[in-house]
Amino acid sequence: MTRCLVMTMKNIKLKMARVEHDLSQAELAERVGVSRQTIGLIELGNYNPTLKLCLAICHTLNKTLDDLFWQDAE
Amino acid sequence: MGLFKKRAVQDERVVNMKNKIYAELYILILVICAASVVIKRFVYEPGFEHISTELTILIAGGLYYTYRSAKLGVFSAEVELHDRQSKWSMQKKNLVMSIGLGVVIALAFGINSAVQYAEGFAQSVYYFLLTAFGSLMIYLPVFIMLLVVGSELAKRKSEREIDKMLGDDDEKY
Repeated sequence: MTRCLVMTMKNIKLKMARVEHDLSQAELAERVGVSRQTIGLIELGNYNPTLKLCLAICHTLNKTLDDLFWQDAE
Repeated sequence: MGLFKKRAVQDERVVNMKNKIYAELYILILVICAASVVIKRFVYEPGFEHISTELTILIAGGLYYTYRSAKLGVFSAEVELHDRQSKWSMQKKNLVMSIGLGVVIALAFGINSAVQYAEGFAQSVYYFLLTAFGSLMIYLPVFIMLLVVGSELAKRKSEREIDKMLGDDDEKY
């Protein structure tokens, strides 16, 4: 499956969006259907989610892919 | 030049498909080993010498998967996902499985002993009860140690590893 984006730095935007919705990593993970560890690793930039998982997170947090996962080319 | 230069983009479809094939290959190896064990039990005399290679592959594969999944923090995530979706927790399932396996082996040994060595009904019952109870006392703790305690230790190890990867607690909330 296609990975969403190559992430090498912390995903602050995802963390901010999650906090906006007053959700813990575990709660977001449960809503999306993944483990808490996976959300933690995505926020840390240590795991590249698939496009499918990116979309599931975006739909849960009412955000677009651009809002949460876009990074300008280095 | 540039032989050892790491490429920024890999063909993920190919990598994922290869990983899928490796996973299927592992299942195939398990099926072949299990079939070989069953066939050899009928062809050769009972004993471990004929099936030791197959048993080594089966046991080493299981141990390697458990160790790696605990070391990479995947084991605890698997348990978390399982417990979220299932009515019975993984721990409870492991306990029931241990008891079930212990009882099945005890019954098998008990029946084997009664059929092979006993003379008369009363002795058959006595041998059955004696062997079944003895086997249960031996195998039940072994299965509980392997499945329940082993799983709990792997889960704790996995949690420690993933907590190390995730860093401080304030990252979680």
